[in-house]
Amino acid sequence: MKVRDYIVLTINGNVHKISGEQAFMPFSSLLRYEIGLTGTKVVCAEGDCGACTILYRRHSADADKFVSINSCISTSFLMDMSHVISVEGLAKQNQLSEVQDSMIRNFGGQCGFCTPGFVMALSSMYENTKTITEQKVKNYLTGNLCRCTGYQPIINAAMAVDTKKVAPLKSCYNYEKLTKDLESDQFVPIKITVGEKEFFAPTTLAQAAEYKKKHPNVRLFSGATDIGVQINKGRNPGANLMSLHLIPEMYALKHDGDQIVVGARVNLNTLQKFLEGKSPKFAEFLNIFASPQIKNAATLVGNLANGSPIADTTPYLLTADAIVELFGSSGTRSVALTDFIKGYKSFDLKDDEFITGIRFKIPNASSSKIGLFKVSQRRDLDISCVNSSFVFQTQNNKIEKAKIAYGGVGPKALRLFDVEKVLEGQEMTPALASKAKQMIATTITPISDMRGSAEFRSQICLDLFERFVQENF
Amino acid sequence: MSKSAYHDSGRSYVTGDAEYIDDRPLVQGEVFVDVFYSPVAHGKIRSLDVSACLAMPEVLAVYTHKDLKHNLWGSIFHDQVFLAEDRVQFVGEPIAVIAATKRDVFHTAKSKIKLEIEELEPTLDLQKAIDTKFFIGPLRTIQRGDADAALKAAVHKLKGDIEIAGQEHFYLESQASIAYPKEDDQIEIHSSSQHPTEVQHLVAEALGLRHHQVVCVVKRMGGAFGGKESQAAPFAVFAALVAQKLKRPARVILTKDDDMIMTGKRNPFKNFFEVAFDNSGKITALKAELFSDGGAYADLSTAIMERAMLHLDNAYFIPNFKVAGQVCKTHTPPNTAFRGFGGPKGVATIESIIEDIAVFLKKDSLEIRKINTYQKDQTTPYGQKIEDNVLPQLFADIEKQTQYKQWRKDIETHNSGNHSTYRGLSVTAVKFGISFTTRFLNQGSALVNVHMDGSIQVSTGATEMGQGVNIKIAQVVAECFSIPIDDVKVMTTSTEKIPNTSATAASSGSDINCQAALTAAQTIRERIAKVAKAVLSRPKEWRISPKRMAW
Repeated sequence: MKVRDYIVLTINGNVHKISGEQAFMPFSSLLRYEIGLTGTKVVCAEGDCGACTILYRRHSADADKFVSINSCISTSFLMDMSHVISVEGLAKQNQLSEVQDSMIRNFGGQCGFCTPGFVMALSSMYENTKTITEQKVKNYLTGNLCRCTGYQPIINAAMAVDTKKVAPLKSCYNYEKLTKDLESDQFVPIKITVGEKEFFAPTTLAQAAEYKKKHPNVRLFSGATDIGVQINKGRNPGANLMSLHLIPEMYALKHDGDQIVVGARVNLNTLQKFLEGKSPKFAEFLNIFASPQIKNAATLVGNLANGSPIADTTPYLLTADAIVELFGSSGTRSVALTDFIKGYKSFDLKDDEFITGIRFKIPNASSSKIGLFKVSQRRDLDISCVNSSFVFQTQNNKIEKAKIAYGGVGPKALRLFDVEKVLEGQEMTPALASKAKQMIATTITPISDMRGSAEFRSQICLDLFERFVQENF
Repeated sequence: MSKSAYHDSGRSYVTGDAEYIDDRPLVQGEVFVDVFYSPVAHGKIRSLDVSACLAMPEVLAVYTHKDLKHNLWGSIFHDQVFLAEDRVQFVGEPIAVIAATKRDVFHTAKSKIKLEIEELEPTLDLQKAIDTKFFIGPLRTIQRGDADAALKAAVHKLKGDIEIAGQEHFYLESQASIAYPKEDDQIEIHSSSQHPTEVQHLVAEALGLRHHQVVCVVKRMGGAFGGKESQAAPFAVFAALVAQKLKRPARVILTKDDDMIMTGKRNPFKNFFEVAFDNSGKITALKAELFSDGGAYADLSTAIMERAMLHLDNAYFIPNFKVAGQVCKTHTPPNTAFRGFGGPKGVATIESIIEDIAVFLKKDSLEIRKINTYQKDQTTPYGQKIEDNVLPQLFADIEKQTQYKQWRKDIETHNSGNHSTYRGLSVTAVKFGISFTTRFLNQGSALVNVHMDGSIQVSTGATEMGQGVNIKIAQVVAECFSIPIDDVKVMTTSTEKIPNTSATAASSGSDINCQAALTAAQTIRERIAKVAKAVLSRPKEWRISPKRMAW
């Protein structure tokens, strides 16, 4: 097997081949300390403040637009086969971009430390939409923190940009040529070994399964929006690291009969856009899931595979009867999500297997009552205390089918089948709701931690059910 | 001056050119510095073994308090140690300084330090500190009239307390310093600090140097908000210590996590009050006790307490007034300056009291505010005459222009309905005292260099942290010389150009430093005018033709 011992990407129009220790660095460190592009700032180092925002485009025919990502939690090897623009790369021949110019004219910078991140986040907005509203600006800026409290001037700067004058970011550099420069490496697996550490990126599922069989403890990287944080906190991700980004099938996002198939490398923003017309409730829910920067990197599969009992997408997937698709040395295998999650960070997953995708049925919007909730200390972009999904099919006030799932109420996210059975075939009445709530209270086993006490969590679970009932019956 | 000018760093901000401490290029031999700190809130250090840490190939040195010439500091009282000696008083208290050749070894390096601590019972709660009289500094009092007598004679009385929690500064650029050792035992320190002079002095004292051997340079800060008024200094000292010992440039850049653990925050307060008022809501007396959580050391907390006490009247005339303030000690990071510097604690307390009075009398709180607000030429409890008082007019204008009464009605209608949301409305005033309460600090100086092509460089003691003080100084100087603003550059703040400065704080940076720059500029303008007058009044044939002048 021919492999390469470097990753390849373009930064501000220059091709960079990165190997050895540099490939394992946070990408922000590579930019700042190795390449000398210090305009990109690092503050929280956990993907919350957005000071490290860069513009990213995957090397692929269908990835036409640059999107924003957090460079502090992106391990450098994940930037393989991509085009990156940092804040230094926006101005051409000393000519500022429209966003840069507007930020100056509208006093968008105070202490200036967050400014590069804001400039990049706004640049990604004009790249992806031309009709600008104040709400849209705010949505695109949820991943950027300004502590001088200069949000209004920044919003003013965004609103003042003449969108007609904004050139696509692809015009910044000669990407036709740059794309060709990357092409020769596109189908070559990567293996970078530094001491005990090894990064492997296969180009086929078989290679991946073989590697996982050999190294059962291999850590799979996708968007790295959680593991990237752990690494920055000094935790060791393990010796063997693997990414599936060179396997084209992993980007599948399609209908298959009445199901939707989401490949392991499909990020949440792509998914959100895909679902907008099809499952508006879920698409809307993804709004408060995370910032654009995170959603441009994080994947649905990653959210599940990370195994957190408060993963925000799991309750919905449980109520959508999701099926997890696996691949191992003996081929593919499908497992219902309810069976797949066995306990706290524990899955029905063999040593040589890994998740290749998730398929789920979208509930019929017209005959379903859907409630997706998340309770966190901050409304947006916070780790949940409790989350839940309610999907009810009703006819003539009668509940034909009830699906209830909660996250953050025990070692794993739960479907509440017993409660569902009690509700099905009945009409919703205060008495029935109260009976259901009693059952919910005895089924869930929340713990107390910094995000909420067990008592608080129990109460919230009942309140969320009550809210769903109030809003739908 | 009448024209709005863009931030002088606006362009560098948006292009990424603006240089902060950690953006400075590495110098040959430069080392990285990190701080090993206490994992417990209160304890006695039994032993400290750094040998395993030192054995790491990347680790060059580990320093403790024994390596400092002088270990005691404090902006007001010298009660704090740079590096813990035999006891620790908060989680995050620096114990040792590690110098290494690589940035990414500190997690491991710190984990190899063996520290034995005998844990002692900590005080972590303000109420516990109040109850056990665990105090910092003396009780302070401001009074006027006889509050006790007025309370006794009161028509109505209310008693209560208000708790105000702390707050993290979260300046985006965490504490950062680089120290460059220079020849002849000098140190040049670049710090993200609001107070270069204090950094210079503390570095010198800690290292056993004279002030003239240390230069502190501040280009800009990525936010400060008070958090870098006193607390930038220890980290500058740590970098300087390494630079002095190893004779290599040394860079300390805190991670946000360590910064949040190690540095102080806004002082939490717990304020108790008794207020007397008549049927109309007019306040006849206020008696209050303010307690603040100073954390483990005094830092600026006593001055912050004074400001809280001085703002307890806020916008209202209170004839009989007595406030006592006491800073309490807890085993938490020493709390420090933060936007408002105690002022908001006084203001929030009286505004909360006014809301309580309104609820008690079933009146609109705006009515209570209007009848209590300072009228022309009344004096504050601390004896300052309120001049140029526009408060009564402001209240009236706002009430009228906002259709306050209609809003109030709409809200009442809404709130009387049966649903799960409630609305509220309030108009509050703020009277805020800018400038330092320690009066001699309200002074500045400036250096204005006029170059031979007519362009001008200005230096002051002000530090730029996003507030735009540099561009304001440039505006003042440009106006003084009647030249375009582009002809003026405000230069990096440095103690070798402008020494003995006050911190850029107390909402005073622009007033003090613009005035200093103006004074300097006017002096030069007068000198130029004198020379110009002499030159221009010579006979024509003696004058040098402008064509022969080379600029």
